[in-house]
Amino acid sequence: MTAAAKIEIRSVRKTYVSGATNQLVEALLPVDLDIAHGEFVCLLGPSGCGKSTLLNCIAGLVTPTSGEILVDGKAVRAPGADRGMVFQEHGLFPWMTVGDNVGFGPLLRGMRKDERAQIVERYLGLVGLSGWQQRFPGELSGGMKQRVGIARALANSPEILLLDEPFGSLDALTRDRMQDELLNIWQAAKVTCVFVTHSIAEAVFLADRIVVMTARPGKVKALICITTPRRRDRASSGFTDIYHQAERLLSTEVVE
Amino acid sequence: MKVMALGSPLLRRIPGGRQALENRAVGITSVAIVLVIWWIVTRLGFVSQVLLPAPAAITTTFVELTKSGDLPRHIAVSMGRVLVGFLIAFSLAIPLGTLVGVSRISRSAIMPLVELVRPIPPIAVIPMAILWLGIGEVSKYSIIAYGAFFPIFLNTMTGFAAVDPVHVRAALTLGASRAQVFRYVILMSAFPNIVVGARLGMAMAFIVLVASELIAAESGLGFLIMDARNQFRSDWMFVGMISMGILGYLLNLVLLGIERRVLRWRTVVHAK
Repeated sequence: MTAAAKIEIRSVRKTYVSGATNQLVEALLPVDLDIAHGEFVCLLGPSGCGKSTLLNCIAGLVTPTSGEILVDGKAVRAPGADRGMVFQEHGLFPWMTVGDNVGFGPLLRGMRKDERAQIVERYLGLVGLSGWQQRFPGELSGGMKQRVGIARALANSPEILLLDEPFGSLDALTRDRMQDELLNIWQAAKVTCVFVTHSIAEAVFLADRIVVMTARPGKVKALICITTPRRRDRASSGFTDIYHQAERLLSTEVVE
Repeated sequence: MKVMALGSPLLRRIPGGRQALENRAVGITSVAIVLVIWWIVTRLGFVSQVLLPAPAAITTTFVELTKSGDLPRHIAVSMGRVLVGFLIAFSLAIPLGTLVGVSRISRSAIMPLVELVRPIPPIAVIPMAILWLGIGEVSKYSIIAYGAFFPIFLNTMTGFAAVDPVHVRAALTLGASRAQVFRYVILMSAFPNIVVGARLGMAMAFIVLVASELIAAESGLGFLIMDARNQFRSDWMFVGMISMGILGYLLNLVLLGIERRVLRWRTVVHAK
């Protein structure tokens, strides 16, 4: 609860009215969590535990039923360019070239074309896709699309990067490589990352801190701090110890 | 007219090189075979020349009518009608389709009406058009516009209703205002359907043309065909019909070309 927290989540609760049954559904029980500046936090939990809901609340795409979220001490009321988001379904605009996708945030801010071109070049370079400006998303592989999605979010120079299971649809090899690249980008861009995943290995590999969530209705079950220095060895005993710790916490939370 | 699945012809890959040549060769051969059979049938006198003129006779008539300026005049008049009718339909269908696609309340209000009117074929509307608008050009434009309206309207509506929410969310998190979301995301998402709707609307306008020219027309391809019936000139009739076939074919080709051009991103294939 230090004043230096980048993101402060204060008793955030979310209930939905289910469209099918017209009943109140508890998606998120009151969640309290502080995320430090520059921290890499993974929200880990079973499917449907409300971790994406929490992420969307931070993004400002979903309004909490009660409680509030502060970013730099200011309450979140709407989405904003300071919180970039990367989606599982990548969410690239298929009618725009890769370059236009990456330059879209700057375009919205009214940036000049030549300045935009520089930014596009820089961030496509950062994700290893220089020279792909003129292609359309439809021409890219799944991993490349995700990299463009990350570049598009970063091109706005956000201070917070919200990632909603971004590598969930990738094959295992690509996924491992993307995790490596994301860490590089995180270190280079010095952003605060909130990363939603249901993969224990992914969370243990990436996070400074894992927020283990309970099954629906979601709340924070445990926090796991990981101090192991980065490039973590997925085969090391330290890694598997943390993995099993998280697995034990989660195993009681699988909803049928 | 059914709402077409999101530009399905576009999803076909434009065949490159050899395959394209092969497709074209097969196509030309099949047309040639029909012509040869037609020629044999008329040559051997299986059918009367009055019922089915020989290809050569039709070609001669075609050249005559072109030289006399009659055929070009009919074509120009007909195309003018198609264009005016289409533009009327377009300028009504786009705003209405947008409104109905974007707002659920207006969808609930307008759709039952549309579903009731839509099955009424343009030909059935002709008497009312004459009663209300007379037998001049205006009623012809109206009937064409009536026919062309629905494909454009329904496709526009579908386009606006089918915006992917993840695109809207992505734009919002990139800092887009409501107006910017509409301009850059919603409009662009609907655009492919609007283009497809316009092409189908144009095709419909062309189909309805003849029906509209049944009303006291003095020129136009529909008139040429009706006049040929009265004069017992089956060769004129065939020239009129074949002209329509060729014109419709060319028109569709041009519109498909435009569609491919503006929707280039949809024809690109996955890179390996």
